[in-house]
Amino acid sequence: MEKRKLFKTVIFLSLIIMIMMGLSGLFVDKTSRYYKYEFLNARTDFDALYFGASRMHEAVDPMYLWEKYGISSYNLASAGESVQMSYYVLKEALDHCSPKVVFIDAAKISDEFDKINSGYGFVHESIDALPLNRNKLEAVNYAGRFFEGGRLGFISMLYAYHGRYDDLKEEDFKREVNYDKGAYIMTSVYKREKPVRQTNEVKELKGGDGVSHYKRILKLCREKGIRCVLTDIPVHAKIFSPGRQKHLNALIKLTKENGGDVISFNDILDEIKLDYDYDFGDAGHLNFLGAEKVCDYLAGYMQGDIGIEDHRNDPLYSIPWEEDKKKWKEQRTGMLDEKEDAVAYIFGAVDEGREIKMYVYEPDKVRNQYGMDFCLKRTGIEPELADEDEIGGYDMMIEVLNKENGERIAQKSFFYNQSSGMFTTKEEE
Amino acid sequence: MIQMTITSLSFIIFIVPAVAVYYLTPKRYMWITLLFLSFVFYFLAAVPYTLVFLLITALTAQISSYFMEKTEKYRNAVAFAAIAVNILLWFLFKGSTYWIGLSAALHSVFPAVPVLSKIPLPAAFGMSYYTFQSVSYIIDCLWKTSKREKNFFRLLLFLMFFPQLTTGPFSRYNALQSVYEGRNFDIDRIYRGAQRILWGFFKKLVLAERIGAIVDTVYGAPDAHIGLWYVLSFLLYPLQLYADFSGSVDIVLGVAELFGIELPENFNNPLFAETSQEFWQRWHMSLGSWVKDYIMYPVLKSKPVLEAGNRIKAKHGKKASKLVTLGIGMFCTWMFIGIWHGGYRYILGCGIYYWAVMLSYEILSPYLSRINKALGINGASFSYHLMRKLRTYLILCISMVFFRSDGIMNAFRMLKAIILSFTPDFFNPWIFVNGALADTGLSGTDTVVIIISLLLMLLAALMREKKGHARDWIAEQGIVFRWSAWLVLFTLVMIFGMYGPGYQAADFIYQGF
Repeated sequence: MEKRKLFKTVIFLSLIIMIMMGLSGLFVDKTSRYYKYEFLNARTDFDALYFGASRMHEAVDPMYLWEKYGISSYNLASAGESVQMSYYVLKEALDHCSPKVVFIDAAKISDEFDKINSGYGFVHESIDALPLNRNKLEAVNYAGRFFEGGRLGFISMLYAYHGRYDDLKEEDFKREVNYDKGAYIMTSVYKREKPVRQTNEVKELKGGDGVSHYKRILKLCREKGIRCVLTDIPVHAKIFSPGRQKHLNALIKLTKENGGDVISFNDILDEIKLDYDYDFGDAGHLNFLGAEKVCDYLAGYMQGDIGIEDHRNDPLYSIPWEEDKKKWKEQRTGMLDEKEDAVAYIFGAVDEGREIKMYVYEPDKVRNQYGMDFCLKRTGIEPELADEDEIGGYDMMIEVLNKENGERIAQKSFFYNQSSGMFTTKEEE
Repeated sequence: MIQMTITSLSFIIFIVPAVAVYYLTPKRYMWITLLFLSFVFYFLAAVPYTLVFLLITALTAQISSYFMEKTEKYRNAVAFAAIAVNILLWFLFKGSTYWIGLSAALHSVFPAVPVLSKIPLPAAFGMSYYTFQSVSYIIDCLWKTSKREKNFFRLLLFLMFFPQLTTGPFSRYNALQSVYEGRNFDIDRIYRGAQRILWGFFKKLVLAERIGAIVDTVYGAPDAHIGLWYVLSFLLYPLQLYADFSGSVDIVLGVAELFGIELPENFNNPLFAETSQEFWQRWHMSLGSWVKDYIMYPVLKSKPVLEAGNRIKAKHGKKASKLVTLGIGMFCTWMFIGIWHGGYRYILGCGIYYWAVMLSYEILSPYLSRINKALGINGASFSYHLMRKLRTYLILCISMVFFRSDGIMNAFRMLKAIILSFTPDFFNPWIFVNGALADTGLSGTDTVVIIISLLLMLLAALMREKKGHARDWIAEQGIVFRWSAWLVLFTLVMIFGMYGPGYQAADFIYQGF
């Protein structure tokens, strides 16, 4: 073949590859990258990592742990993540940092055989952001057999996501990352029932896919000298069934036998003072208030039992963390617009140097929304009578102002929902 | 057995090393590599033991051609026996609908006759294609229009050359000699093959699958749809079938080109045909030419037909004689085409239907010309040609209802519903503007993609009518235009191709035959 033709062919194939890479980057669902990109490109080491599904994802706030305790940590949990995927993500994580402790939530450590215990989209959320290396290929090799589309669906982002042409949003065209250090913290308020321990019976584990991968995590941590801690993030009464308790007891036993530690939050709910009236953000997950209580306990454990240092005076940590904190605050303000109800909006907006004002047509209806009374007391906001010109066809408007200069930082209006008593962004039909 | 349709990733993964291995082979042995690759393909794509059926076909062709060469006396008997074995095998597996249906009909009249059931074995891969290639080879040997292939393995390669095993086209032994030739690696040939494959992918994955979503919605739940839904699927299905079938042939021809082998074209802009006769000269051309050579002409030249023609000629004149003999020849031809597709509905909706259409045209043609003349219609005008093309397309649409429906009665129900669509009770033109199309799973973007794809296909077809293949024209352009054209097409397939997890592109429609 002539050299010229060979050269042209190489150029043409390079263009094909560039197009494919460009399209992959554009079409890939950004959730995984949004939460994990900051970790994979971190400027500091992390003393602690958190793994698990949504309960862990929403219960541990690394930025809170930094602000209050100077702990450098990252939340690598993601929605629906089974422990099998946590194992591969942990393997990859250990190539990027050297934590002293790793927390694994018990929720998705299943004992079933040949089951991944996670949905297709959730597996993507767990591993999409990982670089294409041996760890990712191992994860793909395991997960691929459970889903139509097989392994290629987890390797080629173009193959998996090219059909998103109708779902592309502004975020798909820009590189947005999460400065919450992997966490998703809710600010809504929801009431749940407190669970009660009913049995101490221990179920016999068969060594199914989840358990066997958890054993691998324990082994990996032991080999690397990392403390592995099994957690059981607070749940509500219905979930904490006797069957689940027996399974949890077995996992606790397994952890202890393998040199790990256990923090079973559902057994120390009074100790951490979790309030089941206000500390949940939805039916199954803690909100920021619940997360703070979990974090306070974890901080005590990490700094007491493990001896993790307060890095706030160490410029190697404090400079990047404080820079990220600034970005994190901007990001949270930017995300206020996504809040769907008034309570979530207020709790999301509260910060030092801010004043929040609430305007309503009918002030007596304000406290009909569950959690609003609690929210107003906690924030000290006094609802004010609205002027029609200001809030138009809405029933409530909330304004976030800069205390110093009175400049408006954010503002959102809500409709009153007669049936639920909530002030929400959606008008009742 | 793995998922190995020609749009599957496994097929692409198979092709790349296959081409490399082929060109690394010394020229003398290249055909052996092709045979080896065909075996590998067969074992990957089909139930391996069904290869036995293919081997039986090849053996009958080999043995019969040997005896036909050695003896003059029993040539016809040997050829007949070999063809019979092939047809019988085909009938047992691919024509089961006929004998099952026949036994059920007999059973309803004579309960003692048992209702036969399907043979619980899969048919060999590509049986409808290689069987009739083998038959053509046997007949060519009988007629001495083809030399006997002495090497069994070379004959086997003719029958199982893997790209054409999936959806054809039918090749003749004399025309496929290039599979035995050695050749140098030629990058231009690889480009051309790849371009054709890409165009095939575009037609299948971007266009046919999207139109299929609409057509499948209506045909899948006819009771849930009324009015113009039927008309929409009626008008769209031929386009789906064309994009699907011609797309598959583009891929097959492109893959063959990668190996430096030119297979016969199977389409020549059939939707531009102005008469049904012309349509069938442009659609599934390899089947058309096969039936013309091995059914139509032999029937017309057969003693009984010639004698009948002579008798009618003496009694009713030349025109009547021509019409009757042509009618007989066409009837046999169309019956064969209907039967080959493997179902009673094809015999009626394709075979008998097109026979009646073409015969009617033969009869009415002089009168139509007179009417046109009397009305002063300008036969050279664009509108005249357009109307003729639309007429041919509508005739095709009716036939396609039988292709797509599950059974003859459902096809008639569908045709009735199409006619009723225009009555006040069912006329519902708002389905085109009220977003109802989204019920088919297609978004507004998908509708735009369908329209743009059809326009691209039309552009390529117009170019082919005027200048030849669009890719030849593109090849004459400057590098920027040339590369941009192929990169844009590639990008369109990557984004809008209906492939990926949770989505399995339907098998090619003609792969089922």
